[in-house]
Amino acid sequence: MSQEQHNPQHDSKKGRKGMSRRQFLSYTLGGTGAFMLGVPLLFNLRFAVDPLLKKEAAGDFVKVVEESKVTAEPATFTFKKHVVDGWYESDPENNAWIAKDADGKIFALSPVCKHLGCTVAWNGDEAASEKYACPCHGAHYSKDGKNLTVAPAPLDEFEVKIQDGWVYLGPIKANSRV
Amino acid sequence: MKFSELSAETWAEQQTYFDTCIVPFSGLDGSERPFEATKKLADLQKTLDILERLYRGRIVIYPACHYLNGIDVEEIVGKLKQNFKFVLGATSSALPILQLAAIDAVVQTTDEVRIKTQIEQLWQTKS
Repeated sequence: MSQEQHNPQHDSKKGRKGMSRRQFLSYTLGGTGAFMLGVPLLFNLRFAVDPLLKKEAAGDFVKVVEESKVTAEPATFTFKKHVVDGWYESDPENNAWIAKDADGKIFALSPVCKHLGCTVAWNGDEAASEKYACPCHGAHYSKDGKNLTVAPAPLDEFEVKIQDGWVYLGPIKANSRV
Repeated sequence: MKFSELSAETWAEQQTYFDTCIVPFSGLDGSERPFEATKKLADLQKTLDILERLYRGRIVIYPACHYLNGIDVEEIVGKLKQNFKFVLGATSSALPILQLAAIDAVVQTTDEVRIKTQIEQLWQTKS
């Protein structure tokens, strides 16, 4: 017998132009596997970066007071913020102490004492002239919200935006002034 | 703070800060029509919300008392005084039974300024 008769593989390759069954199976399985891994991975990545891609919603800022009514002396202003918590929606009232600093820049402080959560007041007691005072345990804060006694941290601050002559308050953040 | 927010561990650590107990008295006596009961409780809730926001770090609001007929309020207040220096009543109705020597004050308004004056004067004079 000639060599060619003992080499059936060589004969089959000679006449075939397409892929082998093994190759087809490899490509099909590989492709399906890649699809099954890739699609969930893509959606998970999109989910992971979603907060970064979200634009700041207009609803995050609330119109509170006319800019012209804000002075160097802190004053308290009440505003409502729409809150969505799962299926529950509400419009709780919030308060903020708003004032102008020495440079004329408007800032707003949260009235919640950092000790145990009571509400502080500007010039709240006789010992707290030109300071915020907490009526519960005597915590004092400076006009910029710096903790002077009792409280372990400065008063939180609201994000502030001035637009069309109005002061808008946004989310609460850690005090950036002290 | 509401009573349910204080665990055993938190109470052990922070009891000295919470010296004031607020007991809500709904004033319900059983004669109310449903909408009247709703209004009484809604008015009382406004007062409690103000107290909670202003003095969260010093007061503990206890469960409300309803249907006081036959209830010895003096005894209840006496027991609360074992854990609190001040025991205050909060109500939206006029309840003569609350005019007891044992209760340090009765808050019967939703006016925030009046509430502040009443509570803070009490703390300043009796602390």
